[in-house]
Amino acid sequence: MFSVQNVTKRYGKVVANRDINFTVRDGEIAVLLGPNGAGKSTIIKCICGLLRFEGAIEIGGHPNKSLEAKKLLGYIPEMPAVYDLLTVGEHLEFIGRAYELEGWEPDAQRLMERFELLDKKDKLGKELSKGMQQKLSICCALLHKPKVVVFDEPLVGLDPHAIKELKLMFRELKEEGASILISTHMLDSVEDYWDVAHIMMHGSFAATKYNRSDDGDEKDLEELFFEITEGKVGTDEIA
Amino acid sequence: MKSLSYLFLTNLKNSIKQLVKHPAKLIAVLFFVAIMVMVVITSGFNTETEFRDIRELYAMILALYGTMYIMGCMNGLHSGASFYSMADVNLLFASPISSKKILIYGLLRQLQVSCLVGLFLIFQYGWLNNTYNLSFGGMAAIFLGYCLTVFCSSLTAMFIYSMTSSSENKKRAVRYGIYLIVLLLAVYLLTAAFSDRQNILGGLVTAVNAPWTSYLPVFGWLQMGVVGIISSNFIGIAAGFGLVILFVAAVLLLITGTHADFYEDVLKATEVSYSAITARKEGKVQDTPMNVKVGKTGIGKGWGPSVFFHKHMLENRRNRLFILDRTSLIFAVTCIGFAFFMRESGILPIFIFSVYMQVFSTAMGRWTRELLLPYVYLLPQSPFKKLVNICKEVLYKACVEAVVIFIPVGIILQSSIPEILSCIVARIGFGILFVAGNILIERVLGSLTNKVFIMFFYFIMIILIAVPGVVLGVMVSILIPGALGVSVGLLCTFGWNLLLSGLIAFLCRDILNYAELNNL
Repeated sequence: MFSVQNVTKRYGKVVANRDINFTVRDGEIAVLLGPNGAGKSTIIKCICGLLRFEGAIEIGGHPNKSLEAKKLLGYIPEMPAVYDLLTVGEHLEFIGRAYELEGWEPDAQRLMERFELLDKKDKLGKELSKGMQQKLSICCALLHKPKVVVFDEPLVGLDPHAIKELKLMFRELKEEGASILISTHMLDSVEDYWDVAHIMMHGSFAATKYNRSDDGDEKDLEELFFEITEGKVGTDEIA
Repeated sequence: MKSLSYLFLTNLKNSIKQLVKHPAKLIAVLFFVAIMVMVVITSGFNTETEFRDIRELYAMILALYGTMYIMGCMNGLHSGASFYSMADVNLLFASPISSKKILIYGLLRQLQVSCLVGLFLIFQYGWLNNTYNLSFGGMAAIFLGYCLTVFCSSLTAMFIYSMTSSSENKKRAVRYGIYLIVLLLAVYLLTAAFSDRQNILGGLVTAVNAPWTSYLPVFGWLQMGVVGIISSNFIGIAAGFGLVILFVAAVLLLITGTHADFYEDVLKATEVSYSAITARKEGKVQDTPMNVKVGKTGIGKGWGPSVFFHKHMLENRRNRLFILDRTSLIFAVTCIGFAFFMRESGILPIFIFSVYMQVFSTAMGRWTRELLLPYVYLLPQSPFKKLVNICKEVLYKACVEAVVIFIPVGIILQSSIPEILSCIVARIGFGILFVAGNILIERVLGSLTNKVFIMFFYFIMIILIAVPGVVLGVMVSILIPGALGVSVGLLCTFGWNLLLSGLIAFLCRDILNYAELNNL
């Protein structure tokens, strides 16, 4: 599990995230929804230790910048993170060696098969299309079998097969007990596999909705989202 | 045309407004202008009475214009040249405006860009004035010629692309044609230069100033025009610029007359330059060659943080030309060439020049690129170990560069072995210091997203941390007379640089915990 407590992120005078609080438990899928510029990517980068922030973030009970926390974390950035001059296979070798994973090769092979990258094993990062780079980025993030996986707009640029495979992977990771956070502004991409959805506006949580039968809220996620983002209800009213 | 002039003027107006809205940018521009004005004014106090042969300057002008023009034309063989932004492609090309008007709009934009690119030439005014008694009017003429060279090279590249893009054979023919011309010119120059071994420079200058070189297409004509302005030769001015005007008109006529649909020809180049601009804004360095030979695959070595070094070596293997990568090799060849022409001045000026070049090669090391991807931050390893391992490649490069530069330089200058060794060691020391300066600037300004400012402060920081070592070295070399003094002085700078770098590395050992990934 991981928790975010009173996190505020400022860029000079601009407050990108204001007093964010939430927890994602083991085996839970949380989604961050919100329009462009709502602060989703910023809070994700704070969680992954890529930005400085005020407040506290713990991963598996450890501060997010500690080595113990980093061992548990997998991060898939919005822009694919690949090296121009490494082949697909070498990216996975790099992760295997860097994370000191014994016997990483069969897992790498399996991931490449699932994302149809096996025939591109000897292609350089710079020769891949954006979608392919995104698939490789996903493989790199999952090779060390993280317990907390953070996806930033993971479906953008993927082909239908990769989207299907990734959605299947979300469910598998959930069944294995991983805590998953997915940021997106595409409502239909999260369908029904989410457990909790946080809707962000102007750097803060405007609403939180649970995907349970006993959830008292009659509105579905899409209705709630548009009510908030189109300003039909005040954010304080819901949050 | 109203819409296009509106677009052109509004873009210009908004870029000026942006300066007012962003004081930091305004300060940078004012600083740039102030330095330029200072260079021009201080050159007015020139007390020199003896000047070098002005024909050397004419030869340099031809070499500069020729290099820029041929390099620009070569672009036409793979991506063409573009005068447009992606916004122009998406909005203008689809609009009901005549393609000829859009071409004129593009040419005006290109002229504007060419002028901005050429501004760096003004900084050369000081030494050109001191060495060749060049007037400011002459400097302005060189600047004008440079702008026109860049402009004509883009136009030629576009023309070459539109004529050859459909056929590999045509492309090959043009490529080999250009190679042949360059080869013939090189053979001619080398033969002329070495015809009198006692006066290589003189032979070279005479060869470049031969009357026929002024008739080399475009860059020769432009040199003729500019030399005409400097030497008040009105026939040269009329002939040079007249030929260029005829050339531009003929190319435009060919593009618009026989090949009115030029949109496709500029599309690829626009996309290439758009991705390069985006990469630059994000602080990414794009120096990956177009065609990379993959060779043997697999990193093969390294466990934990040390894998970064082996990954960098693999990337270097795919990027390099010889032992060194492209940039380092160019720097090394430049230093060796510099030594060849400065034989009388001794090894010290070459050392200073090579250290100056090293500032840039260190700033472009692989470790700075590593900070733009998340892996180095995410890896569960000690931040200090990661830091050391991502810096190893640039230190290795500093060692190889020092050896590759100073052994040939030492042979050319017939320097003693202690002199060569002290230069190698001292240059490695500066390499280590520059890496430390880089780390320090990342630690202090890591959260800044403006890479231009980071580079600006990096240079200031480098000067500040290097000065004490240099002062120490100079004092020691004054105290110990002769060549030994220079060697001991250089070793003193090494000692200081090593000490300070160690201190900086220790103080910044947690940089990877504090740095911010600010490229996205």
